[in-house]
Amino acid sequence: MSLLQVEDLALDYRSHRGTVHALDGVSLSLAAGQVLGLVGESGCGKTSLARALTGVPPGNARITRGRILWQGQDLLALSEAEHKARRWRDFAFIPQSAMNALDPVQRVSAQLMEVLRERGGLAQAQALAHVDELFDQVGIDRKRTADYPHQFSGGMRQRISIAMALALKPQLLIADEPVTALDVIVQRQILDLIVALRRQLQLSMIMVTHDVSVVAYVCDTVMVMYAGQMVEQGSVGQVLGSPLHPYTMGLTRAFPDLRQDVGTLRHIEGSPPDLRAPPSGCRFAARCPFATDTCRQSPPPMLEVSQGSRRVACWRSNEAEALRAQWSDALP
Amino acid sequence: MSASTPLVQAIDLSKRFDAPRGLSDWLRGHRPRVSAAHQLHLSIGRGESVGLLGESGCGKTTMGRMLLDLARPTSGRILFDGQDLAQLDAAARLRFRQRAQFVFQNPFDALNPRFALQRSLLEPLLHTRVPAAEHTERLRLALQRAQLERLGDLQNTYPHELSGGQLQRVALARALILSPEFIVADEPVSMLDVSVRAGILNVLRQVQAELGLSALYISHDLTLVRYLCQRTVVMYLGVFVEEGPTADLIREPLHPYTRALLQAVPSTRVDQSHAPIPIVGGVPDALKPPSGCRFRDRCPQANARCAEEVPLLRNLGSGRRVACHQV
Repeated sequence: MSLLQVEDLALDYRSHRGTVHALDGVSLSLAAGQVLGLVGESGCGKTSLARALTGVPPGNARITRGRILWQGQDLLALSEAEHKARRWRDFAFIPQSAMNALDPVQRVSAQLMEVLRERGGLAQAQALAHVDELFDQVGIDRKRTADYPHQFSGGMRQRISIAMALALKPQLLIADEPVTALDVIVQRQILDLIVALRRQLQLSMIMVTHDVSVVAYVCDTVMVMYAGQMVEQGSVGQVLGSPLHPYTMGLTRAFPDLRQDVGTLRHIEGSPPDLRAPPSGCRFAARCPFATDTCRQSPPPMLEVSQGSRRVACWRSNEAEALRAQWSDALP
Repeated sequence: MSASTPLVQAIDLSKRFDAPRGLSDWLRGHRPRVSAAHQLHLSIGRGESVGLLGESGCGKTTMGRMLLDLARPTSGRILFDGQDLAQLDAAARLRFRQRAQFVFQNPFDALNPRFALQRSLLEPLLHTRVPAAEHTERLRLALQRAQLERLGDLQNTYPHELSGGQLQRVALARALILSPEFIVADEPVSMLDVSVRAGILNVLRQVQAELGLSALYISHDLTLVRYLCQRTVVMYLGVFVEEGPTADLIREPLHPYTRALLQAVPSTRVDQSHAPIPIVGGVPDALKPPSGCRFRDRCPQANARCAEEVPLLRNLGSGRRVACHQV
């Protein structure tokens, strides 16, 4: 049984300008110990999905369809109190720019203690000892537990937010853009910490990112999202190495790689559709260099490729190899 | 001025900022100062693009601002087309402001949200003596260069209606409308989604080639520098540690800091190395930089000499310079 399974999840945001269909029919499954990357551009629904999984979607969000199964149990059927009991213990969330979310007027030890005592029910002495252990785990000197957030650099604050997420030894860590605002060396240090912790604690993880190289560095499997839907899913090697969906082809081509000569970068023209009234056919069709009338008229079904380990939603996925070769010529 | 002299020249440029004074500093009569730029020499040729690479707080933005006369150096000189920026009179300064332009990091903040795009785009022309009859043609050209022809009605479109990529193109068009000879672009794509970054990088590359612009790209992103810049300067805590043609510098980095920067960039390949980067910790407090080599407390090769003697930027031939005792 997989640790986490999402079936046909749909989520809407109500706004004064209409209902935004932020997620539409997303399914995924995560095995214990696996690291899954959720990748896509701003507004594709990757953060909405991550927040729905942790049970703390924004106030104007409504899950309209689907199930989220945690070890077989439907999380959406739980009461708020039952759900709360699982947060931090079963799964923990590192929100976007978590390093700026620390309370500036409280010592970091006090903030960690709060999680350990209030949510973990530890006694004062136990909790104190555990704070030290957590600092060791994320590579910060124990002497600094009583410092305030502003006394730490951005990278160290990110380490503290990771420590906080790990406080109650969750099985699953969901991290939203954990390295995005950081400098390149610090970025690498945090990614290395994540890789090490994952191994050491046998964590499962979901990494939300727009950065394909982060996925390549830490993830086992990847799900590519576009306009609230999943377009491709599979092992990182398969998806990034030989993408089947034109959007994935575009994402990997748009990214300059330092160690390979890419020639001229190719970018995907246009912007994603308005999710208040998504197009009826394939949502990527308007930007896709290979779109046909079929693509524009009807949504592509999710196809299972190679025994379910790999899935793609594209009418022309059987021609993917030829399309990959054409990709460079197809764009202006 | 002959074509062979560089367009922009910084000579022995330093900038120090006063840091906030605490009570104990005040009682001891101590004035803490941050040295954001320390005795820097840089020249940018006509049509040349130079990358200034470094982590947050290393002083790279300060350097860019000084070159555009947006910050006054504490000491040293900047020559633009042979003229000392500090000595320009009002008319000459106005001319300089037309010839040199800044492209800001955050396109979401760079445009006035209450101005229609047309007004933002034309604003630079109003402060110069470009005749009104030329405005339309200038605007058309700038939009074309930034590949924004399809934007529609500029008089009734406002910044919030555009995506980040479009906004950055508008900001670029605004910088280009005065037909500058020199631009400084501070992290021009760091706020943008990966999928639109490539588009902006391509526009910048094309504009630069077509107009023969000189450019300084300030970034922490090696991939950007590699894509756009012929020459790269690596900066650490207010000093230049390495300089050279970008391709050579990436193929064979000499300074340990450059090596670490290169190694830290993850690849899009799955079979990449996960070997740990050779340096530890973060950038030290700029108020108290280490003695000798400023990089030494993070350097895997540092020895006693590095603590005592400041390494100077030495010329190694073929355009390469490095400031390290171990090279």
